[in-house]
Amino acid sequence: MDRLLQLVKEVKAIDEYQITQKVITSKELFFIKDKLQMNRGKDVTHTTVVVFKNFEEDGKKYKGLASTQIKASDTDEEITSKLKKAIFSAQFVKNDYYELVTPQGDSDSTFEEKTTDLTVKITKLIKDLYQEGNQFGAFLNSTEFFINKETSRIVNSNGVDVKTSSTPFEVEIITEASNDLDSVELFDVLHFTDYNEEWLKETVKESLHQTKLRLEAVPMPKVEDIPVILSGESVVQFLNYYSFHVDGASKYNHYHENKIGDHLQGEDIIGDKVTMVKTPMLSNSTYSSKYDADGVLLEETEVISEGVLKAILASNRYAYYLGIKPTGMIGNTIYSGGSKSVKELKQGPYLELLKFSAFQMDRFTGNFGGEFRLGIYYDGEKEIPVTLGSISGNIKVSQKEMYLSKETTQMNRFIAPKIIKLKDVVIAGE
Amino acid sequence: MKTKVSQFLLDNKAVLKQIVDVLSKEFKYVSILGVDTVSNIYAVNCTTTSVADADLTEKGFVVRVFNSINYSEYSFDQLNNPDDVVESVREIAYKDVALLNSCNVDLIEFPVIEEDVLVDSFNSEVEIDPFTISTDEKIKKLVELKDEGFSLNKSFIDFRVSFQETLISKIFVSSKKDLEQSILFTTMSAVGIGRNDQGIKYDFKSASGLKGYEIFDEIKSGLQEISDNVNDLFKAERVVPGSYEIICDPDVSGLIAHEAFGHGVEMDMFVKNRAKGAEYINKEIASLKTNMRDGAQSAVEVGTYLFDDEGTLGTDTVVIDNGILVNGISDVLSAFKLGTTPTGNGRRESFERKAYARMTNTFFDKGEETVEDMIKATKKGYFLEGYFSGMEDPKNWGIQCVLAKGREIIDGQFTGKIISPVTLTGYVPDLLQAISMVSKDDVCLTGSGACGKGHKEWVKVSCGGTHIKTIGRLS
Repeated sequence: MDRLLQLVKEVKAIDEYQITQKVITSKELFFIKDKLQMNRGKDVTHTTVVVFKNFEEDGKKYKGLASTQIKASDTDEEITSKLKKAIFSAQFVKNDYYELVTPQGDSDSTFEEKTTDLTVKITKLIKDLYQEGNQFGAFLNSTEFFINKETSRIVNSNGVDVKTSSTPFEVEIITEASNDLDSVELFDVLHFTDYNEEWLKETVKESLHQTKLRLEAVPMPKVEDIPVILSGESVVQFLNYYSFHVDGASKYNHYHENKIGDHLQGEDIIGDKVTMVKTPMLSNSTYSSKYDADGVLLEETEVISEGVLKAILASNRYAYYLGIKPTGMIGNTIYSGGSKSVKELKQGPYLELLKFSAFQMDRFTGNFGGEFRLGIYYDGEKEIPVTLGSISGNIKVSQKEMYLSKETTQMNRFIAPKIIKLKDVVIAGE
Repeated sequence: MKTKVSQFLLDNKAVLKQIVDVLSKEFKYVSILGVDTVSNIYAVNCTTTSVADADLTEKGFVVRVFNSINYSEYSFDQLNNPDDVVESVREIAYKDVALLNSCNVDLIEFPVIEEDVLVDSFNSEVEIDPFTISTDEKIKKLVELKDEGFSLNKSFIDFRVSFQETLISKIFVSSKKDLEQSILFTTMSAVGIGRNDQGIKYDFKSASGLKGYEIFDEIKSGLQEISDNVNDLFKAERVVPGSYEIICDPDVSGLIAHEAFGHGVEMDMFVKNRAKGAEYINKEIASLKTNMRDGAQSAVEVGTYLFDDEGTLGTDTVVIDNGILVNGISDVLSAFKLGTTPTGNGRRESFERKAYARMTNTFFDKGEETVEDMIKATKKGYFLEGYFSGMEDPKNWGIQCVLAKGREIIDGQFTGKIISPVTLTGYVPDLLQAISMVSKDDVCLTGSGACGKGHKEWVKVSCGGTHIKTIGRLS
C-alpha cells in the first residue's frame, strides 16, 4: 500500500484518490457425497484505485472519476501507466461535483484470528455437517466449502485510513432424496462468520426434510383465489423492493420520487406495514462492517417505520447530490415482524412456497414470481407437498393487504419475518 | 487487427515452466494456467458517466497438481518468489490433505492426467482495436446514443448505454503442453426506462461478439425498437396462465437451449448424479426437428477459445442430433469418472476459482421452415420476444425463463394484444418434444450476459438459435 500511495501521489494530474485493498487467503474443499473431489487454496490481493479530476465549466463544478485495478504483479511502471490512463479518462467524465469522505471515528477495526489455520476450522465444520447428512430418506449429494481470511483497507486523499478484517464462510449444500420412481434435489447456500454448530445442524436437517417433501410432491393442481405464503429467501427478495425505493442513487436517477414522510405502501393499508432498520453490525453476518466502501462510519438507521419513509439511504456521493446526510451503504437489514403469528397466518387454505427455482422481484415494476420447486398446498384439511407450479403478482397490488409473521429469522445479512401472506397472486398449476 | 498475448505472460512463461519442473519432481502431474485479462467498461445515463476496469479484469495463475490420490490447486497472483509458490502448493497438496485424512475425510481417487505433446496458439482478430480509441471518443459516442435513445420516447426517465472491451490472454504450461491464446470481445447494451401513470417499464438491446469498436454500429439500429417496445409494454396485459402454442425468437430459443437444456448436459452434474440428462444419452429427448450444439469451436462468439482452463482444446459438440441426446459437455475430471473424452468445456470464473463443466456457445441449429409459416400455423398462442433471466434445474428438468413479452396470435395472425411479464415454466422434455417447427434463418447468438452455475461461478457464454415453435406453459 505504501508503494502504491507513493506512486499515486507522483501522478500530479490526480486531484484526489481513493484506494480500496483486500488481501484474501482462502481454503476450499469440494465433496461428492462424503468424499473429497478436490482441495484448493489461494492467496490474492484485490486493489482498486479511483482517481478524481475536479473541474469547472460555465461556472459549474464537476468531478470526473475513473477507477482502475492494480494487480499484485504490476510493476511500478505498469501502475503509473494505469493511473495516468485513469486520470486521463476522468477528465472526460462530467459528473456532478461532490466531496470525498473525511476521517470519521477510530480508523482501525482489525482483529487477529485466534486460530490461523483455516483448514483446521473447516474440518470441524465438515464433520458436524456430515453427522447430520442422512435423514428422512434424504442425504447430502455434494457440498462445497469456502473459508476466507480477508483484511481490507480503505485510504483516500482526505486522510481516511480504515482497516477491517473478517473470516467469512460459504457452504453450498446439495441435498438429494430418491425412491424407485424418481430422484430429486434441493440447493442451499449458507453464509456466516461465526460458526454455530447447532444452527448448522438444524439448517441441514431442514434442507433434508424439504428434499424428502419434494420427492413426495405432486404437480401443483389448479387452484383459484387462495392466499400465497412466501418463506425463506423469497421473503427477503420480496421486501427488498423497498430497498430500491428508499435508495439515494435510485432517487437521483429519478427511478422513484419518494420523500421523507411518504407512505411507501400507499394509503388505506389493511394488512401489516413494513418497518426496515439498517444496521452496520449484525452477529454472524458476512456483511457486518463499521465502515462502508467509501470510509463512511456507519450507524444504525431507521429507514421505514410502519410504512412511512424515515430516511433515504445514500452513499457519500449520492447524499451530496441530494443534499442530505450520508447514511453510507449499510450492509445489514432488519425487517420487523408483523401483527400475526405463523400459526395465525396459516388458517384456512393457502399455498406456502418453500423453494423457488429463482424468485424474481423486478425492482422497477414491482412484478414478482417464479417457478417453485417445493410448496405446501393446504386445502383446508390436509397439507400436500406440491411442485412444478409458478406464481406471479405485483407488489403494488399485494402490499395493500399483506401480513408479516410476528416471528422473524436471520438469513446472513437479513433479519426478516419467517413468512409473508399475500393475496391477489396468480397461481399457475396443471 | 490480430490480437497479441499479454507480454507479462510471455515474459513469465520461463518462470512458470521452472515451477512446473520443480513440482514435477514430486507430483506426477503439474500444470499452470496463467491469465492476464484487461477489461474496461464505459457507461453513461442521464445523470452520470463512469469509466472503470470491469469485473473480468484479472491477472494471476493457478497450479494444479496430482496429490497421489486426486488433485489439489493453488491460485496466486505474485511471481516475485517462485519458491513461495512451490511451498504453498506443498502445503495444500501435502499438509492439508494429510490433515483431512487424519480427520477421516476420504478422497475420491482419480488417475493421473496423461497428456500428448501439444504446442499451439490462437489470436482472435477484430476490425477496429477498441483499446486504441480514446476515452473521449468512446464517451462522446455513448452520450450521442444515450441522447438519441432518450429523445425517442416522451415517457423515458432515463436511458442507459454501456460499452465493454475485453482482451483475454491465457497461457497453459505443463510438462507436455505449451498453449497461448488472446481473445478480444466487446459487448454493448442500451436500456430505455419509461414511466407513465401505470408505473415503470423498460426494454433493452444488446450486442456482443469477437468484435472491436465496430460493434457501436449494431446498437444504434436497435434504439427505435427499444422505444417501441416500451410503448408496447405500457399496453401489455397479464397472461391468463396456461399452455399455449409459442413461437420463440432466437433470444428465447437460446435461453431455452442454455437454461432448460444446456446446464443439464454439463457432465460434472452426471458424476454427481445431479442431471437427468445422464439417463437419456442415446435416447430421444426432443422432436426429430431438434438439433443442438455447444462448443468453443461451434461458433464465433464470446464463448470461443482455442483451449479451456484445463488446457483441453475446445471442440464442437453435437448435443442433440435429430431429437436424440448424443453427447454431454465435460471438463477433464468428469470425463475421467465417466470414461468419456473431455470436450474442452472445463472453465473457471477466474484464475481464483475451480474449473467446472461449463457451456460456451450453445444453440439450436436451423431448420427448414419460415417464421411466416410458423405464425400461420398457430391457432392460439404467443410470439415470445426477449428475456430477462432463466434458471436451470438439471436434476428435475424444471424450466424457469422470465421473458420480456409475448405477442398474441389467433388463427395465424397477430391480434395486436401484448402480454407482459411472461414466465415460461414446465418440464424440459415436454417442451423439447413439442418442437414442431424450426426456422431456416441464420443462427443468431448473443453473449452480452454471463452464466452462473447454481448462484455463482460466472463465465461468459453465448446462446441462441433460430425461431422455434413449440408448446409451453406461460404465467
